[in-house]
Amino acid sequence: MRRGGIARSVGVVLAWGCLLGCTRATDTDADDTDTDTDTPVETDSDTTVDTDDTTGPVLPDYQPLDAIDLLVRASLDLRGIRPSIDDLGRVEADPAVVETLIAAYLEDDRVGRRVREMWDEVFLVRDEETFVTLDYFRQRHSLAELARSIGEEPTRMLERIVVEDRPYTEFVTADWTVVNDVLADMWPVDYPAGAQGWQTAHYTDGRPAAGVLSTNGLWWQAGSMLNNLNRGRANEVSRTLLCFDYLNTEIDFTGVGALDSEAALGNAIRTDPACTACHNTLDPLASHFFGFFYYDAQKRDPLDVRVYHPERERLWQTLGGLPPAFHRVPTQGLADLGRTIAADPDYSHCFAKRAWEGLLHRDVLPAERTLIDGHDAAFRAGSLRVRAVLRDIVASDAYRNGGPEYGRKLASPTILSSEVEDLTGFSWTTDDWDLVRAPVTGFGPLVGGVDGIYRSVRLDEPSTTMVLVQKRLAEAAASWVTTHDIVERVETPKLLRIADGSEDPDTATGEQRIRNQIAALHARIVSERVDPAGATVDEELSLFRDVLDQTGRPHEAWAAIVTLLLRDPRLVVF
Amino acid sequence: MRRLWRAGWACVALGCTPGSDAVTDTDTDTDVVDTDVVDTDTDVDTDAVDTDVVDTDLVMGTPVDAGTERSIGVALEGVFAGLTTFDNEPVELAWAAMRDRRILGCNVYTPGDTIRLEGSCSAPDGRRTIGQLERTYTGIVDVDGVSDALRLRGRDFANGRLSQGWATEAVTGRELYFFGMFYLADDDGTVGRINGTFDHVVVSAPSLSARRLFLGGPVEARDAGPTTWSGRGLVPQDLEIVAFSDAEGGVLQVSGSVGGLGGTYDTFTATNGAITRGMACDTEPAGTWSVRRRADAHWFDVVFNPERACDGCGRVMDAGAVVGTVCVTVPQLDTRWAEDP
Repeated sequence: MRRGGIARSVGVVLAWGCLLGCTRATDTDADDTDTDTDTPVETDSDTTVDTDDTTGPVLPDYQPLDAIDLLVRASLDLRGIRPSIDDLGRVEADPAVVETLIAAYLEDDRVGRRVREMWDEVFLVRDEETFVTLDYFRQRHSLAELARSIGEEPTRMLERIVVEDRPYTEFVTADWTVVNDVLADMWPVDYPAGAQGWQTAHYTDGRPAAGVLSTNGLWWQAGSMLNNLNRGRANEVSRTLLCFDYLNTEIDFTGVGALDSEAALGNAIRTDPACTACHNTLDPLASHFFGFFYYDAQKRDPLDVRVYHPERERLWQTLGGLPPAFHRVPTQGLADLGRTIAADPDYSHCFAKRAWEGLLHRDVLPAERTLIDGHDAAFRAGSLRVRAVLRDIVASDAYRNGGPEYGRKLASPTILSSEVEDLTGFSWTTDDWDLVRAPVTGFGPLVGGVDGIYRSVRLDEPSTTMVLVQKRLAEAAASWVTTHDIVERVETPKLLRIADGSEDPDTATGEQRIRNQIAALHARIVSERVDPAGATVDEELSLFRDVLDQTGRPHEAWAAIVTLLLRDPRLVVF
Repeated sequence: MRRLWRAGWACVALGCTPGSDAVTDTDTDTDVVDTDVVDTDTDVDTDAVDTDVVDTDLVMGTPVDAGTERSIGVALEGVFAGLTTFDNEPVELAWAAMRDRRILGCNVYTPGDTIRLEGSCSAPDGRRTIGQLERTYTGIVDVDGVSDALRLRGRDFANGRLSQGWATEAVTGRELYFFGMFYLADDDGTVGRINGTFDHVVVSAPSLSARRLFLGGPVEARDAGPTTWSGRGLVPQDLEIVAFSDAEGGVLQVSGSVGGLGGTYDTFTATNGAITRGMACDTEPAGTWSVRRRADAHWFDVVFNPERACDGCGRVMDAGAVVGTVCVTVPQLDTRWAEDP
């Protein structure tokens, strides 16, 4: 490799920091406590205190993104893939066309998948460690199949709601679910005989209709120990659907007696104001989930965990819980809870907030909270159709910000994985695991993946491990696609559609085709136009020649070029 | 004696400590009569409510219709009639099925009177097994042993009759105890499955007998006949039935839940439930008996309080609000409902 190639590679890495904005303010004022919605914590009065000072925090200085960057951002966020060269050309010819293309992207079915992937990071359930024991089921399916299928049930429901333009209320009221053949093999569902893949189905064990709240997929992941009495599950519902996380609530233990026994703890939970402030609302919420409650031995029983248990619904009575209620209003079980949550203002507001955070890949700043109110209003005006709130967010100044503060963001592992797969056809897997995403078998946490176990907070700055994973992914994908396009000489190449490996760089014709191909790769992979006769292509042609000289194999020379481009920071910062 | 039985009723219904006549009132609505009903629904027909038991602090809900009241009553009468069908037989059959198929060769330990199976393994014939289970059989021959092994400590019946009997008479008994989860299936489906804690104790003295059956979770046994509770698809959850009888009469105490009921109501839960024979009010159960309507998973709690009015009627509650009255006919109690373990 010549110096130019090395220097370019090093430059790729060094360029990382500034792409995210070298002048970005610190994030210490970011709100990551989810406490901006009305609190269910009981206080002396029912009023919510606004602690903001009179002037209030100041919005970041949003500056408009240029049309091409906006096109790339919207395409990656809404479809998980980079814009086509054709789309790029249309916007280059007329920047206003970007609005037309964004509108089309919003109608793309891949929006459903993107929302699913964003909510994977909300539910934190797509990990490899389930609460129930899967030993028995592993006699028929791999752990990867099981974990992926179980973890995706909740967000597959959400995907259907998006794709079919159903109201978001169905997420907690529906009598249907979405399962694949792996889940249908384990669970009591009316999955179509002989079908494959994800299909709409219904549980046949008579469980209450409460959408995601009635799914095995959610509760097989989010468990509850015996003494916890479903409180952890209740907090998951509160955190994910209502944006109130009890675990972020400050507790003043001053004056609380010694919690040195089970009895003392139980007494404090019911009587001490420091404890009752949360438990008086948390515990009644928890009491809705005893139909999915398993004693320790039961969670190892494959027949037990697969079905809903009406005979356990009243265990809160004997185990020390409180009657089911939501925000202190008694409810009649799980289905009633679903209806009540669906009607709660925090439910839609929380979705708007989650969608904003998912699209901007960062937490809402205190100054930006009012923006969420506006997106929530748009969501409601759109009859709680998910595309309505996405459309509103994507049109906002905050989303279209290209300024020095918060003007760039990191790609999630799902976007990195899907854009590389779309570009090259390469999926980095082993034993059914997507290595870019999987938290244990793969490298998810190293790339900023959030699974709730190894990472709970999304990565918003580049890291060394992220660069390393991108490098390995780029190498593998480049090797795969160049073999596919050149060695196997397939009819429809994925990337190399100008050059076919027969070009001789020492001939004028051959060099020109190579130059044109390199320029086309820039457009396709990093969405930029470069002059085939310009310095950038000169440098990369030089790298091409070096590799070809050393190996004598054109596909390896192309692999070096593709690797270089796939390692470009713009694949993960946009 | 009859007076003692009458006083003992409170203990049966409300769970006071042995040897005490004090009534521990777990129902906070007691002792105050009817002056200040909180009515949240202007259309409430208060005549529909059991008029002898209206308390302060009661919240009136929207009354259920007469058909619902009748169907709840029918469901409860079915529950009462079915209580004596619960026994230890399916547990033993499930155990025997697994034992007979020689799956015990995987991991078996036999400390003392206990047999313990462990592991997730395949039997030589390819049948699948999974879990861990203990079976303990204990003979009871002395009074001190009785009080521990019976797991009846903290209970008493009929104003101390049980403890008096134990203290003065020679007591014998046996206990069969299972704990854990074990599951065996073959190509035809489940062979046997035991999941939870299962305890069956029987003790007797010349003048009295007492039994405790605890069914902690689901049990399946292929060999269980269609008339057994397991064969009928009933699923107990922490169901405890404690019986006491002597020459004067008897008591059946019930707590816990059972799912898988046929009909409109698929599940019941008993809280401090009791049925009596030879006591002050044998025509009305005690405690709270709740049923779950299958169609919409809606629970109704029926609160009986024979201390106030022995009329066979209880208050129907819906999420804490009074919504009606249910009257039932209680079958004559047969306390000889279980054989020795």
